[in-house]
Amino acid sequence: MGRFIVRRVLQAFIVLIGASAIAFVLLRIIPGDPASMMLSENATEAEIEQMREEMGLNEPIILQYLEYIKQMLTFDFGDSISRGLPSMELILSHLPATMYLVFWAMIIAIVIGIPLGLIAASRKNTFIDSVVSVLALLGQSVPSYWLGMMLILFIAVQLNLLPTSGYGTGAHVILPAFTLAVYQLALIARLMRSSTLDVLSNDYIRTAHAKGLPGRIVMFKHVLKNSLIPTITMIGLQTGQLLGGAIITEFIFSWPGLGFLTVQSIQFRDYPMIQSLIIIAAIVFVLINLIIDILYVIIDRRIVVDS
Amino acid sequence: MKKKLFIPFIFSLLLAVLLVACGDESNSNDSNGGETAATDTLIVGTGADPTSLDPRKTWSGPGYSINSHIFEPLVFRKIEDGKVSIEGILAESFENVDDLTWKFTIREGVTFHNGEPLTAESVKFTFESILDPSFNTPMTIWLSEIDEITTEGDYVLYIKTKTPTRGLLSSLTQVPIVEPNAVKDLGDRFNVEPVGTGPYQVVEYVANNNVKLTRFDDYWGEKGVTENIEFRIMPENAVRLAALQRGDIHIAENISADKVNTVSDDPNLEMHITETLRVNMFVANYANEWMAKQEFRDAISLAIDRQALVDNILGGNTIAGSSVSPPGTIGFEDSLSIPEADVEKAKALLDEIGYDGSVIKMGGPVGRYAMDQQIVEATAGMLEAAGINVELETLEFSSYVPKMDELAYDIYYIGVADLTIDPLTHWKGYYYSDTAEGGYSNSEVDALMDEAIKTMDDEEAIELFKQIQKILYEEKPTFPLYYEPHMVGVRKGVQGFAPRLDEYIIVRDAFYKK
Repeated sequence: MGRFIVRRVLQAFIVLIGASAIAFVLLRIIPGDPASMMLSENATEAEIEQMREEMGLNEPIILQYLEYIKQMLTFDFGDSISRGLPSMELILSHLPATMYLVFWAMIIAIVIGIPLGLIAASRKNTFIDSVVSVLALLGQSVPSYWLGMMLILFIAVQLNLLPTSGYGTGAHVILPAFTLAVYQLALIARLMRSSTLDVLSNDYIRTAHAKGLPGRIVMFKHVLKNSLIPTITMIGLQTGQLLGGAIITEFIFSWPGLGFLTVQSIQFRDYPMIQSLIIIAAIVFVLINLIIDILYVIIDRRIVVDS
Repeated sequence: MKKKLFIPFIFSLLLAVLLVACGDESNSNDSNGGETAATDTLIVGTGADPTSLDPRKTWSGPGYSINSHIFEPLVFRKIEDGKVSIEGILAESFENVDDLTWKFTIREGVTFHNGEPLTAESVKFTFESILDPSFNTPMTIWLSEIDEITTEGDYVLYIKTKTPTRGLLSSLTQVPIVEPNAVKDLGDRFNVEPVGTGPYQVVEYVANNNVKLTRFDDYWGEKGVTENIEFRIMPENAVRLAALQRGDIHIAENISADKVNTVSDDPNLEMHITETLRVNMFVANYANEWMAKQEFRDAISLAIDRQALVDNILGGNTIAGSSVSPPGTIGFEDSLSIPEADVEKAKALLDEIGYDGSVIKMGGPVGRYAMDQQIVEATAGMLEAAGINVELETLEFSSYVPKMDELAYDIYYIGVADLTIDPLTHWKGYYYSDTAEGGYSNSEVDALMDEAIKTMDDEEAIELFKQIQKILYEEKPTFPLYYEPHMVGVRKGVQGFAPRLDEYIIVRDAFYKK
């Protein structure tokens, strides 16, 4: 077990180095740089060039990368070019808003998605099953951009029930959380349905029914417990992904989280900021994967692949 | 029968979620500024985060708007009856001692938000810190002509320029003065807790969320009207409009042209519209052999129906462009008419020069200016109608700028603001041989511009500016289409607000009364 964890942590470290290198190179391949974005329409090419020189953007890319790695090793992630503050400080100040949003979105998705999947599976090929399947399909296909706008127009403006956007009170989180939850909810419902159907076809379920257990007990004690495993894995991964920033939802709802920060940093070509955001997203993702892997080992010792 | 238990289970869960939701809502509505009778806070929805409140770094419209409440420059634009001039703000008076030297007398009795007095030294510090190469700010452009700054006593400042520079005053309108000790003490934090002399001071700046300001009671001049101002950052145009309709905000900047009627028709809202100092135009890239031909550019100009663009896409909310300078600025040549639109003439002209149908690559930004993408698409259509083979690319602004800079297009769209009321700053980038982006070169224009820069007398300079505009009108290195409209949606009950030629949202004289 100990060796397994050490090995996974080392692998995680390699993933981070790789992510940082790819992020670094990609950023410098896409057209534009912080100097040209800063000066945009009101400067001559010579002025932009001078700015580039001052910002050290004219150094060979390898030297820039080595400099960056050197800084990272001392936990200095660089200052945001557009904001003049340490990029880590900015990430930490935007993280709570994203966590808050993702928390409520996942709660909504889980609380509605899991029962929906269970119901659909337990009433396979009935009208209810079809309704759930169609809804799940819709939920996965509807663009969050459109959904968010519709919610704002109908629930906030027409019905005047909730604020249109922004961050602050509990009421502000409802619309963005719901917008974000719809896709996750549909995903969970569909996965839950199929994994429940898998479990239902097992012999031990037939045995449970045969020995006279009430359907409710079979459903909760035998079916639910087993069909939850793949769903939980997916919930973990999805949460990790969303923590990197729910970009479109945050942008529409003016939600001051990591997604909004990401969009903006890309628009400014704020290299240090984007690099730090990518590193943090990679760390979160790697950590969640690590935790899930370790959980597997704890739940089922057969999974230890190491011999 | 047993399975039926699931239905009540689901419903109770849903109910629980709804209850939580409603509970949240009820205790939050009072904090919603728009719906209560509170009139002490004016809320402005703005399109982009200022990113830093240090005015020595600000280079964006929303940033300028917010900073104008917190800081003041030595001199600033005065907009009266659609005409722009310069008046002293922190400078009580200013005079041109000789061709190279400006003398500023600093206003006495001005204090910064932290209680420190304003002196000539504060001004000197501000300028020198901007010019420090390690500070990395685009604002050096405004001060690049400065050779030396000296002070005499606490309230006299001399600025020596490298060459006679008529634009210095204009440039100084863009440079607000900061408090030196606060800059030194706060370090990085000055980006979020800046200290200036303006009528409002910063309470809080939460990145990507809002900037809260409160009235500064020791302000030297006429104090702000409303007690608090909040700028809310709302990047999505449609959402900003929705927030205005619901009353979450009182003023919404940049209402999109196709939504102007929505606002006008709403009994609770009204539109404020003005044309601005921003010239929206196409730039010809002379590297393309066709674009370099005078007749070809004439044909393009004939093919573009500027008035149709203004009427059909911008809803008639601005005026079609005639000159490369916007109306209201010093030296605007008002005798020029809007270039004629005549497709048949354009076709004839193209035939005459034997245009062979070569591809003309056209570029335009998306979402940076009012209806920019639609304008560019419509123009491409007009050129196609005249028989020009246009290949159009529109890109999000941050991807567009670099392609534009590397001259990836034969003709491209841009909006250039003449905020400094001195056209030379923005003309330099398009019409002066050494620096013209599109490659335009005319020694006569160069000579006139060299002359104008050195001319301190307004009347003489105006004559030079007019001559330059007439030449550019004929030669067409750029095609001015119209002047960017500034469209602001406002809730009824907001008083004392007026949109400005410079696109700034300044609400120090405004308040909201339900």
